[in-house]
Amino acid sequence: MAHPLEFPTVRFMYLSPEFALGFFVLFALYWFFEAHVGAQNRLLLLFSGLFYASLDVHLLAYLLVFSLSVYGVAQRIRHSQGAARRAWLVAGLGCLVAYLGSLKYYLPLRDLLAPYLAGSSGWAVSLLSLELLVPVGVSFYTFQAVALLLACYRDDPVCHDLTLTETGLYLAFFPTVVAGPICRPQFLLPQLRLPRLFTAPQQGLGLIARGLFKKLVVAQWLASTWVDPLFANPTDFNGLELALGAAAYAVQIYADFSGLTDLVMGIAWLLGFRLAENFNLPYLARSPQEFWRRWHVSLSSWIRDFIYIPLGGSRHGLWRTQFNLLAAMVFSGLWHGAGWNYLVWGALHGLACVLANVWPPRLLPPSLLRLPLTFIFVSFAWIFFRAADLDQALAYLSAMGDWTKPFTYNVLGGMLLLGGFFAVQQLAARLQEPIRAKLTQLAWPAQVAGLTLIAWVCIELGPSGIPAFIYSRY
Amino acid sequence: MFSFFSFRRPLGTLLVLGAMMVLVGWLKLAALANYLEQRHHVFVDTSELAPVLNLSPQWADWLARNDAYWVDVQNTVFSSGGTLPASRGAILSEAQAAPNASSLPAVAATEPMRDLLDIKADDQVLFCGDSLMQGLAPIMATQLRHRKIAFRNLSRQSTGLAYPNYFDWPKTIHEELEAHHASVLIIFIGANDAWDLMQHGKMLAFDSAPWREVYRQRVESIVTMAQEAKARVIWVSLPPMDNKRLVARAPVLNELYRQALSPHPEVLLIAASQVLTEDGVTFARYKKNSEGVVQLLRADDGIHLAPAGNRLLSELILKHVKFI
Repeated sequence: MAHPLEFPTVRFMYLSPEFALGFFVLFALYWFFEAHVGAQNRLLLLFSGLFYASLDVHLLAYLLVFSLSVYGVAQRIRHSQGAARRAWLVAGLGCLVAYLGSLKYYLPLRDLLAPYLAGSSGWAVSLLSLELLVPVGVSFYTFQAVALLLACYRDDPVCHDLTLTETGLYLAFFPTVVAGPICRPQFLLPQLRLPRLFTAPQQGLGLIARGLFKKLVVAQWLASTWVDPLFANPTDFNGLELALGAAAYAVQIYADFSGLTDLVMGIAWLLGFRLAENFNLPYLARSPQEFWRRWHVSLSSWIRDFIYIPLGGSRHGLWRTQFNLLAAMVFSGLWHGAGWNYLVWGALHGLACVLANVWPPRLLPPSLLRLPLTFIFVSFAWIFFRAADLDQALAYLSAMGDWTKPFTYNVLGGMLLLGGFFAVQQLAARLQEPIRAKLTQLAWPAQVAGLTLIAWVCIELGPSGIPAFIYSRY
Repeated sequence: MFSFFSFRRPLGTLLVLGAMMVLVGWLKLAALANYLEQRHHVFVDTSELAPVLNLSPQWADWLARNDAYWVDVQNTVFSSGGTLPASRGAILSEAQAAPNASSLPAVAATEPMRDLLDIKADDQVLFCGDSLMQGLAPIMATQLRHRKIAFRNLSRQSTGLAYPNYFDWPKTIHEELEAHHASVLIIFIGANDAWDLMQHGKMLAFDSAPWREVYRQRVESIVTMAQEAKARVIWVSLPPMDNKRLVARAPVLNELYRQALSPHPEVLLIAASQVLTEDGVTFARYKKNSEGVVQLLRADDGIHLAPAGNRLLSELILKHVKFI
């Protein structure tokens, strides 16, 4: 029996056979219209709409109304002057904040208030029973919309002659709509207007292969073998195992998120788009500040430009600067979710950055220790991120204090794997560019063989079904 | 607008992508067929492609398992024995012409179903099921650990009894019982079974007589295997759902579990609705506990249980368990 609004259940998730087939058709049509940028953009917009609708057709309605509204406000900002221009900006930003806030935080707040509201009548009970659909990628495309409205307000040249198609594509570009990277209008809009060049496709294919391997093999193995069992029942394990579990999660979330980024960058590359790097070997950072220059770069730069700098940045003295930094990091934590654990995670990073800023240089740890200490801190903070709530995080930390339990895991093997991970990171830092250069020279039989091998390995070693990406829930 | 000279480079990549997709599809055709069956409930009869595709060992195994089921259906549904019909289509025609299950004599239990199950210190408990069990098992596991009772958690999301090609629970349980000699099975499954079944190239509509028979046989096969391995079984029925497909179909599945398990009075059948509803029937997202505190019992999807719901269900199951 079909529900009237049941859409054909073809989910174009990036890892599905349906997406592969759909992208194959898109790729052929897209480059068939190589000399016609307008046709290519319309094709991309259509595919992006279908892609988003395949997740849920109701979510497409959200995105359509959202895109039309953002375009309308952007036009009003551009064609107004003085106080009216500012008023449109404030109204637009206010609506965006309300949109994101209500969708992201309604359900967690409702569940938090339920014990107090359940005995009430009238609006309180209606609130309890109201269900809101949270659009996939809402955090990402809303942040992009904020950047667009501000660019229009500042009369940035990229906003001149902004069209509805460009606005829609900027917000709903299918490689980035689900989980970023968060693109700035100055970066993406010019690419939408210029003819696309089809160059070095081997690099795009290499990115896709790398992303698949990181997500389907590395991240999934770490999750099922180490992270999920340890976080499910921490009191059953030795403290050292739990410490390794935190490190395993650090690697898992990196492989998961950077794997997704590689995948979408590769897809965009094959369509002639260049997306900004979102990860730059973050676990080679030697300080908390450096970590945030390497991790989820598109988000941290957005927070710097639209939260930290408007708060005053570093223009009002040392302590006000640290306050602004702490506020920005707490915001970053809450962006991920309305939970005390996310707030603590953000606050920990904020405090660490503040401490690193004010710490006397002569008392800094030796250079050799800075990388492991930074990694230990980041892994510790990830415990709060991974836990379902603050209670679970504290239970995990408490269990880490017990080193009397017998080992269940091969702890030595785990440490060797961690060492191996860092060795690979160091090698990647040195060999990334030479490998990219070699990839460009790869002949087509080697491309087919390499891609097939990677795909086969991922299917063999990966989980059954299609796994979700961690960051697609934010 | 179109220039072949410009198109030749993308054409090269298009051919690379196409070749890769064809190669991967050929090498992993079984996985692809299972995916189509499980995700889209579309059956691809690859047996006829097998000679063309030059069977790999995994294909031969898949077909053999398919054949085993075909033989099982013939022997159990029709009780005809003897020679096999000429075509698989004929089997399905016969299946669809089989007497309606509801016209069969009602299965009468010789004893009331048990309400208490013993678990000893040297027992090994096996958790089996789908994502519902993935939420329940860790909470029950903590209680077992405190009592130093061994357990294994085999729960796996998106699985059920309806799509053995995707994941075969009867086979998995059989192998597990042989390898690890579990003495208690706790089974919480069914949320992924509210679909039509594909059997030998024909679709059996959900809740049709052939569908009920095939599904019931699978439930009974698990119980029979457990009996032969001298393992006790706790079967947890589905709670009411707030999902447009499951709201009507979960009760059908629960009734099938009751029918399949009632001839086995040694099986402990626990109704999750006892603790997850106010009236035993109606879906409840929230519920007040004995201290008057409102608890969130169900997840946003209306199917899965929230942590408090899993805790309540775990407590309910443990009330029916006597640790000795």
